[in-house]
Amino acid sequence: MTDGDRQDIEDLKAISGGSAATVDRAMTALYRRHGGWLRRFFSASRLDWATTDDLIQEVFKKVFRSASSYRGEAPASAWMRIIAKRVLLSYLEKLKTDPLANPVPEPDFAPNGAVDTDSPAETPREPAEPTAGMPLPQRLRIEACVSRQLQVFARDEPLRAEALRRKFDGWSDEEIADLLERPSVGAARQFLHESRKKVRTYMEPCRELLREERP
Amino acid sequence: MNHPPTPDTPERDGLSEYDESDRQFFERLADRKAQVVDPQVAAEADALRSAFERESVREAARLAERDAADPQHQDRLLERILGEARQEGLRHNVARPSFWAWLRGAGSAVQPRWGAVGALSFALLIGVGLVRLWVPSEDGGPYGEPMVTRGAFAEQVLQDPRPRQRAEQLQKSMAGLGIDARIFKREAVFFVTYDLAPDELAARNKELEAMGLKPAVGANRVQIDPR
Repeated sequence: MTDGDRQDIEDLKAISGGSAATVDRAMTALYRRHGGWLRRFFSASRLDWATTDDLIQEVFKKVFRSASSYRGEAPASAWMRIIAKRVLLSYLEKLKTDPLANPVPEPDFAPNGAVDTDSPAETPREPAEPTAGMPLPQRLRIEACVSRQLQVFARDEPLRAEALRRKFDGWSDEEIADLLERPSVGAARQFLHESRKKVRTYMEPCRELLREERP
Repeated sequence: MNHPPTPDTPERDGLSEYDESDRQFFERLADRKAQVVDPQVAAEADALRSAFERESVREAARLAERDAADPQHQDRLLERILGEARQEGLRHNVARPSFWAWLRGAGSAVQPRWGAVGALSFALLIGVGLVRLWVPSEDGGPYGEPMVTRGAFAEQVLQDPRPRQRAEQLQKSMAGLGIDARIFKREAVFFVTYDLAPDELAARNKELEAMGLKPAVGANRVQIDPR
């Protein structure tokens, strides 16, 4: 057990039964030690700044409420990670049932293929390999199309989009099973397989563009 | 009846459709150098990976801009968290303020200047009531335990003209003595019964007789006079 772990235990004890000043001090110490990785954890889901703040706050609220139930059998960071995971899952579930909470921006390209290149959201920072040899406008159209379809997919299927993002980030199937609370690695793979099938349907209009332009 | 297996359930583990194409697709999604045999799978994975890359770069840039533009942000979030913790703490701990704080508040609400005097008077009244209840009268309780005095006991039980009410009063009073009594009615006559050991029964029945009640001899019951 590291010094940080021991300090966490002390702080959680203080939160569960201390005076207001002690609780403030302990919460501040916990935030200083764990706020950074919590922000990185939520940022990996490409959540906006304000939502990330809200979710971090939610985690600390739950920590405050359940500090007395923490038994110190595992490091507090592992315990907080479970809380953070549940907070994220619950947020993603809520997005699925309330799509208005996650609106998809207006398209940056017109149906006739004109691209709004002023939009910083769609400015390509790193040209992608499959479109590298194409004329610029066509490449931008494809990228804009895929990005937008991905946003629609993420709005309709937030959990599946999350699974694909984590795969893109190089997470293993075991890690994804743990994050999404799938009962087994096989179930997580099944979920990934179905997510891939779903995202393909969303990519259909963009696939046409790719097909048109491919030599 | 057998239901078809639903997606994402462990029952499907053995029949997983996750196949070689999926493996190649996800490898390509995570690592652009991964070899993929099917060009269609490679194109899909590449298009999606490019979109994720742009999304990732965009979000990282936004976060960096935000951090640079607002270096105090972390402190403000901490303040928010502490503020909420205080609110939670208030809800849990201060929602039930101490009796004295409540009394002072109640008194002040009526007449701020006289709040403290009012609170003190009220406390005195409650105190006197408690003393009256818990300290035995001159002749004392039957067994020395804090109780409703014998005079008050007989008064409550005997004065009410309604037999059921008198039975209930007796039951309550006996509960005050630590005796678990029950009421039953037979042919319009109310009885209060109780379970006492034989040695205690005789002494208790004597007490009840002295109060003008009619406990059955050697039995665990008192008949309530119908009047």
